[in-house]
Amino acid sequence: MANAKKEKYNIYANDTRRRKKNYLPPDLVIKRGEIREKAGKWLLLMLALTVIEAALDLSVFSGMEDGQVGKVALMFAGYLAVQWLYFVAAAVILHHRMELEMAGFLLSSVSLAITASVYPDRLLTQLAATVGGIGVFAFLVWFMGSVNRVTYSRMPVGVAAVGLLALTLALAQYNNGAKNWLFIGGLSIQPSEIVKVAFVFVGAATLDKIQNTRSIAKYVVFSMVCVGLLFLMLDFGTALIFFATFLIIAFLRSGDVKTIVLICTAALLGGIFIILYKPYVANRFSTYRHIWEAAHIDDRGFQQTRTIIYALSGGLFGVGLGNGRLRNVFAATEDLAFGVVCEELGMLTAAAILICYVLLLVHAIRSARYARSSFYAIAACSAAGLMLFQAALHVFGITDILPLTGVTLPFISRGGSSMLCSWGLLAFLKAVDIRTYPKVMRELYQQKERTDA
Amino acid sequence: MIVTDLLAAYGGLLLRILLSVSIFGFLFTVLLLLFNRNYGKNVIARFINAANGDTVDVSSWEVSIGRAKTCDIVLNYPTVSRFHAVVVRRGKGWLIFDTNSKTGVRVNGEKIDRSAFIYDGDIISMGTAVLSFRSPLFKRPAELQTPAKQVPYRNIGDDRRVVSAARKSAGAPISALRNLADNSLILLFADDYVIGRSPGCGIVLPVMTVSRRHARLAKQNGMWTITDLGSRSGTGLNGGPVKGTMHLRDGYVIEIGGVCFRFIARYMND
Repeated sequence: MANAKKEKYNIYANDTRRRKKNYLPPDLVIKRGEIREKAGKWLLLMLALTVIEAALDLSVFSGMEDGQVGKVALMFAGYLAVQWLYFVAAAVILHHRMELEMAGFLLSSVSLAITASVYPDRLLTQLAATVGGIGVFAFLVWFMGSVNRVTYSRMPVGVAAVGLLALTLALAQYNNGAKNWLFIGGLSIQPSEIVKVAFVFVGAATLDKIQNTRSIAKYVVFSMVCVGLLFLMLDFGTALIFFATFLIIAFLRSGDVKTIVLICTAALLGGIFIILYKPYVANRFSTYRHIWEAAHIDDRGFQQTRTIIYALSGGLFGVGLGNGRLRNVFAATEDLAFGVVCEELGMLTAAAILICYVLLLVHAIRSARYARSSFYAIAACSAAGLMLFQAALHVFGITDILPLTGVTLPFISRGGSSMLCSWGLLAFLKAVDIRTYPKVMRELYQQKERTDA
Repeated sequence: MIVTDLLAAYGGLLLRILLSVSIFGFLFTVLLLLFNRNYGKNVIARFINAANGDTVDVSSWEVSIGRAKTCDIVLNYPTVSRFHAVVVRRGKGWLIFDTNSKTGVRVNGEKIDRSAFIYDGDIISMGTAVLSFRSPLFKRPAELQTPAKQVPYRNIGDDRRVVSAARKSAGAPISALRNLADNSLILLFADDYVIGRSPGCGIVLPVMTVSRRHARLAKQNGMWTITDLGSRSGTGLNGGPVKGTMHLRDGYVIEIGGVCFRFIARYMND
């Protein structure tokens, strides 16, 4: 009788056992004084970073015309100054941790070095985008400090994102087979890159929204409109990235594998339908797995074949910046950025960059369990997943494992919008870590002290 | 001579090796620092089921409550929706959200609209399930402390004069049962009640989980007692089962088929 009752009216936490394991022994709980990060550790790392960046920058100068050196050196010095300024503000004054920023600084400086070496004239734009990206990062990290601010701004951001994509579709001209560039004055921006950040921001939601059916319906409509608009722009690479991110977010929101399988099946059918009735789409992928054939090797398989040949010739340590040959291929620093890194900086650096994306995803998944809201958990996991997926699409695309879609490599490819997007996505990874917000940490300890007493 | 020759020949390679190794090493060091987690989870709130005393310690900032297995706190009651409510910790304190549930959420007996702040010691009820919420850091502010709402009596008509007349005639205080889910009252005038689902009972609870004749409330030597009448789901008293006949004292919580009552020994309402 008692057993029957227990079964009927028990109240239990879903993963009690796992939660029990996560209780820290009392001596591991940080004391109040340790909430503030000590700047000393980060100063040492910052000095190492500066030395590495200086070495990277110096290697650029060896193959450069004398007229350019002064200007480029000035810009590199400016970038170093921005980093140190950020370091003083964040680590010394605000006592923040610096891991993610430092990784971002180094990756961006690889991008800047390649840009300076291939297109010294466009270095200023790239530098401005990087500094702007750091600004976007700092703003987003501050903005996401308050859950209420996030809750109220999701709807306007979603509307603005859809508006921006629609505007691009209406105004943009065809450029390399896709309508995804917007020219305003002398500036050219790729709105789909900026919408990526908004897509993650709108997709992630607090738990009370997730349990609400109407909220889910709204989100599905939003993502379908985004992916649809990208399809109309014929920007299939980005559409695929959005769709993959949508799958990640849908899984994180519902926790249901069956739904994901259903969505994938529907998408597959849709894809087949499109290829059957719009042959020019299939035409884009005709060279896939045929790049080495005589008809393609110097024509539409040119980029992939040259990437494979030159990337291998770089060896483990590269041929040095400025000595590569892949740089002469069309769009080498954007669509083939990974190949350029492999050739000129070597396989080891290239591997470090790829491992970086993987580690960011691992960090997001680990931190998600401790996040203070499901918003941060979903945003971080989907942002890191987006980055990794995009990197995979880029690397596999240029090596002909997947069709070449011309997507950029986060942080490494030259391009202002891409750089802004990468830093914006990094902000989600910063926000999921509760150590980013000392106020939140302090609340946690206060609570601990009171419940103990 | 040899050194300069070697440097001329291999200096560039040496620099490139140093550069790639240091980039690799730096990225690794910095990202591994991320994994150096120096914080953990603390219990920041606790839910206690009034029916049987089960407790759930909460260490995350957002908790979902419902009948579905994927909820953080599973309330396996037929009157609870699959995704019933969400309790979140925001800057000022704890908030409860009603996520389109069928039976609604009540805080201290009052139905909430969409969301409401909850404080330490509040009683949250969802359908017939009653949870007591504990989070010692967040006490209910004095200006928000409202006296228990006057609610209509059940089962016995709504006549104050009956109460006072009965009290006079009996010369003893009237006891009462307060339903924890919605704060409604059952006044106990007679000395013997059978609680159950069947219409012939003294106190009728039309809930599927209550047996036809579930339990007996009786006054013996001036003390109220409760006896289980062989019900299917059993009768609970302060979280434990009722075995044989047990005495009731002021404030005891009785659970009958998932419906929770607080026993009030002296009900003064005039």
